[in-house]
Amino acid sequence: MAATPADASSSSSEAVVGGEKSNKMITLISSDGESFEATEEAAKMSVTIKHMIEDGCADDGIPLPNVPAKILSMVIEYCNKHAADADDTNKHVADPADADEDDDNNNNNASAGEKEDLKSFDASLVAVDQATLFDIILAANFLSIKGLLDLACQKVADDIKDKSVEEVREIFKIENDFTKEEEEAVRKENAWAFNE
Amino acid sequence: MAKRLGEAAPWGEAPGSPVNSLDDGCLMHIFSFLSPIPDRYNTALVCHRWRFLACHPRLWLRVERPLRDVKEPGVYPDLEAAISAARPGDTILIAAGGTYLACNIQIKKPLCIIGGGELPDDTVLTCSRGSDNALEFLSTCKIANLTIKAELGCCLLHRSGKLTIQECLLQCEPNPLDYLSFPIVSTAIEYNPLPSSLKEQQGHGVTVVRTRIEGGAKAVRTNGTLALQRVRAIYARRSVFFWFEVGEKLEPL
Repeated sequence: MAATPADASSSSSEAVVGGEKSNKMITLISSDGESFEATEEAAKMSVTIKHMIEDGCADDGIPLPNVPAKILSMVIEYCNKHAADADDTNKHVADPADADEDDDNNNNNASAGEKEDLKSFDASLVAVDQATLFDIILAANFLSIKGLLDLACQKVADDIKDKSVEEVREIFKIENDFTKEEEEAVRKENAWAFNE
Repeated sequence: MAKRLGEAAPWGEAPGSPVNSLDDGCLMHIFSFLSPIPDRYNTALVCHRWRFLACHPRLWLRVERPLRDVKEPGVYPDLEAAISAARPGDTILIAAGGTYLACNIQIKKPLCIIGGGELPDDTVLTCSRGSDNALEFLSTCKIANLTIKAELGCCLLHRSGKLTIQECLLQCEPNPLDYLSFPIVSTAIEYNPLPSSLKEQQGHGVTVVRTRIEGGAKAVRTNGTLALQRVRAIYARRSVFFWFEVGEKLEPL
């Protein structure tokens, strides 16, 4: 096996089988000063961080002034889980001639189960209170993690779906700032769509 | 009302509401996951800010000739592609300038199609000689600020639902040979035997507002049970603006 390109600053002692991905750990610093470590692969799920790494600004840790520790740990959990999933798929494709037949079979059976696993992980990640959910959305937006952003936004949309206007106001604690006339005007504006 | 005067959130959200913390882009992204009917229209009634974002053009589909080969999400090269991608209740914005072909395009879901120019004359849909009509409506729809030009056939064929034509320009063959050219043809049939006692029109019909109609044998041909009524016209210097309805004949009481 060819030696992976020397990454002198790599601090991890784990060897990566057959991959050119470095196992470099990236330090992410939350807005309240807590440090978190993530593999470069997981961190690169955030396009924002990916660009910073590529531009060489990541060596001393990346400060994220918009993301509090509680949210950052959830984001990193998401990235770890999904980066591993992407990696497994890549490994599967990259090593068809791998002598480890048992491993391959296991992978085949596991991938269906893994998808389920991933789905339930995603579901539990966003099953949080509103404020946390919105913080996740803001963090995913700032860090440009499309999968997490879509996941969290879909959850909020599901909360709005099929609810009446009053119910939506209740759920999100929004005050009605329409006057009677304004409300009529909005209804009229969109009335073309309703065959009533 | 006092909230408006104070320095609290410029929109009407209570300072404690967590939704306040989301920026416009994130909220619009959330709304993009909702189907327009009924959910996104419901959110438009929640408060001023939500109305502004739910009805924002950024959530509309656009029909534009692509400048480069880059495929932008939500942008389509022609009207048919946009219509098949749209969800019921979506709004499609057709970019001004140039002409777009519209031949026998069937619309089976509620859609709003808007021209992107300042005047209806800026956005033109052309129905070429071989086709019967430019757009065929089988569902409640609205079109606004468009020019629809039929070289030989009809501009709009209304089969069912409520069609609203607002500030458009419908052009037909100026000297039609056969009685084939009509700007609007309605084949809708109202089966409701009871006379409608409500002021609001129910069921099928066509409502025309401030629209210029040029050419054709006559403005509207109805093959069904609907009738032309409440016609008003304003003669401006260069053209005539019409307002009328095609609907269930209102029986005199």
